[in-house]
Amino acid sequence: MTPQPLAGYRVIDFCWMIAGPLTTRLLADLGAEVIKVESLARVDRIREVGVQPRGQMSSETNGVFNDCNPNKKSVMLNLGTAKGIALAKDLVRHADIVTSNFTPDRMDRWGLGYGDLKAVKDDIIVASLPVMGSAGPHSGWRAVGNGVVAMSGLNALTGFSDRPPIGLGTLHSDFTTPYFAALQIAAAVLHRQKTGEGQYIELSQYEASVHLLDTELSEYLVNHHEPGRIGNRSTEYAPHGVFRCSGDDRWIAISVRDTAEWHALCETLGLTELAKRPELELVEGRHAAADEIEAAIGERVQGEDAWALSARLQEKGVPASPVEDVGDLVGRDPMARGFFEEIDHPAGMSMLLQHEPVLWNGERLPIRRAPLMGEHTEEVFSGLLGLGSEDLANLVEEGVLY
Amino acid sequence: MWIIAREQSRPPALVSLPRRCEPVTLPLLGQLIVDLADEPLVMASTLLADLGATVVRVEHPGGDAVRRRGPFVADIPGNERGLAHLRYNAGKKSLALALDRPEAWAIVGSLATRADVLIAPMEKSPLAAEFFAEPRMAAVAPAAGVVDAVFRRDSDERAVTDLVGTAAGGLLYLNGFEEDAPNYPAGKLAYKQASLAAALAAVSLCMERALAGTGGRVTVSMQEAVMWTTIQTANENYWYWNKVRPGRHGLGSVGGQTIFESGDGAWVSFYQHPPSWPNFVKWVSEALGEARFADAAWEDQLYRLHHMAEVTAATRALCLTLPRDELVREGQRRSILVVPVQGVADIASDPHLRERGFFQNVWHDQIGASIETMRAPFISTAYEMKPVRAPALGEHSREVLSSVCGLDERAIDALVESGLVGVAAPVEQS
Repeated sequence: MTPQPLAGYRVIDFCWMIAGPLTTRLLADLGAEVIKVESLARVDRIREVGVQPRGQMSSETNGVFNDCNPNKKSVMLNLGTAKGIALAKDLVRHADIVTSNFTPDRMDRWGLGYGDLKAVKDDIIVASLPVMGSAGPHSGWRAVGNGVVAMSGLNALTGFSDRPPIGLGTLHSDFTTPYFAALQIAAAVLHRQKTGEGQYIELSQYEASVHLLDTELSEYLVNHHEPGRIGNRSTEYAPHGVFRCSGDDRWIAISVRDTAEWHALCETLGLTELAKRPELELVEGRHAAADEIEAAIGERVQGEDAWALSARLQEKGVPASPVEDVGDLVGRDPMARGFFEEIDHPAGMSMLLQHEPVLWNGERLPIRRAPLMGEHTEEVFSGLLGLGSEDLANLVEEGVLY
Repeated sequence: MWIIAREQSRPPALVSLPRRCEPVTLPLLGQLIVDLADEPLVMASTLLADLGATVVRVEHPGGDAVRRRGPFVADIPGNERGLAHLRYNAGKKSLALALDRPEAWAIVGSLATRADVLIAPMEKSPLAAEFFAEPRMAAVAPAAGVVDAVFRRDSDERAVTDLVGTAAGGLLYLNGFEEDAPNYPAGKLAYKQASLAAALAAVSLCMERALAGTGGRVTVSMQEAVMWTTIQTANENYWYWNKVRPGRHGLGSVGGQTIFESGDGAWVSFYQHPPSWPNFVKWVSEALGEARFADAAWEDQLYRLHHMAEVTAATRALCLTLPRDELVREGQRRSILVVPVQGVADIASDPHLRERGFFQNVWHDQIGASIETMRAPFISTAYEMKPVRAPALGEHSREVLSSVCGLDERAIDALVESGLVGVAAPVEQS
């Protein structure tokens, strides 16, 4: 068992879609008890838009939902009723952290804004992850991950200069924002341990995603140069590219950082004439001859197996990797083994859960399947709030609990 | 002296939040992080410094790869002028140590005994590898947490760049058009994702150390960190493709095409979010006279997925009817998820970010200029993010050796004299 530094902390989680639930998943992985709150009127929308297994179409079996919500508990609570709001506040009274990622005023309109919750629990940590942030002229804008990536500059900077900007092929910001947010929440926990104070914290998904840029924005702010799309090349390294290998749509990525790696590349690929040319010793010369060098590499590697060639290059200290797709990562690559875990789901099918990209003291963080909808409603409201079976039955009857 | 900061029409306003008290304390104040990371993990401790940790960046007296990397301020190279250095070393203290000499690692060991967490380089020199080997670290500093990093698990492969990281983690393959090679994403995203995982690991180690007296070791895999960003396709592969390759996404993301040209030749991201489908139907009807989507069959999400080409064609036509900014305004007014594809010039002039005080100026003594930079994205009632400058190379060597390692002035002078420790040259004020 790995350390669980958030054991004993309880999170009331109103988040939905991907970025918010993955944030609280990171907290759950560290031992926090995360209680996911949904209602039938407002189920987590990701249940509707992610991939479903063959022959299934249910709220429980969505692949993305199950990616985002392992290690949590689920309660179904109708926040459209006064009793539902009162019960939500009762949960907060027993909690340490509250999370949401709605458009900015949603929690306030429920009466669950920071002031309301602080009145219930003075040292509560309330975290909000609105797409644009709670203030600013575009705070009401709606977007999901691909829109946040588009605003962040990553699309505009990816691709070839004479081609359109390119989508990242993944809702990328949905997977990076959670780390910013979990980091900020974990830091707030440390702050509370030292001072006894809670706080309201806000992380704009847009601002966090702009932080994914490298120096491109600084270059514009400071030097007034606007960098463009440069395909697979690099302003730092040369050669730096992606080359077709043998097989169907198989490629290798190679980049060379210095003279030693350049000579190691030439030796491995048999580029003896290029290796002799003094003007290619330094990166500036290799940048100038990039077309010629890339053509020579392309010719040499086209009949090679990307995996075998990559291993030979790595052995010589040259940065290289086969361009792996998700099929490789799930099934072929032994170095990625252990990241995914195959589980049987109560809905009668199997699925993959993914671990975090870390080992703690050599072990994976514990993982258990995402909860079924309302799986822990009775346990939480009975065990935590002390409601008896008659109370629970009445609340179900009234449509407050499901 | 010259000023680089862009003209601003008005001073940035701080975001208005419910405030309980005056901002007093950054949450990681008091935590000591020793940063020996190479480029892949260098942003981890930047975020920790943003949140108040004391981060001692240990770097070679001649400058390391982060400092030497261009572009540079005013395109003039120098250890103090690299934009990567100014960004990723912001808020850190610089201890210049000749890490190619064994004696330097005794000093690192002394730091480690006081540190909450050390962040190790991914590509380790023999001396670094010896220092971070588990038995030695446990003997030198049993209470300190260690964030270590590998390119891939169960592998000796060490030579890594960001390109190679995106290739190994499955992100590179998804980008580009079918007729092209897979396309390298901007932003050094493999490094970013590994750094984010490392930053959270460091705070986890701080928490564990506070609880248990010792942190332990967290090892980040860059390949897995990138895989984390592509996980929404893992079950799709498991259930459907069964090793049939999914192909590249071109102008799309998961769920089809999302990038469309607007009427002024710019680009927008237009996402068909299921709940906003009725709003889309109304818009295409009003703007294009397109009535076919009013048929009840289109209300079914699966039907739409099976006829996505028709939806995409209508979206393409709709987007061409208005210039980008008008299209976004109108789409957002209709609760449709349409936003601009922005370049860095758009971001720099975005009134939303400007009003939120996202851009702030920081004075740099070594450059003799004020540099405009972005603040960290963390907003709180307990603190405010105020960007601070990056340190000069060796600027804090004396301070760290004295206050953390307990060396006296004479001992420090001897270390400087021997070339083991570098100190920053005093800045001439103009």
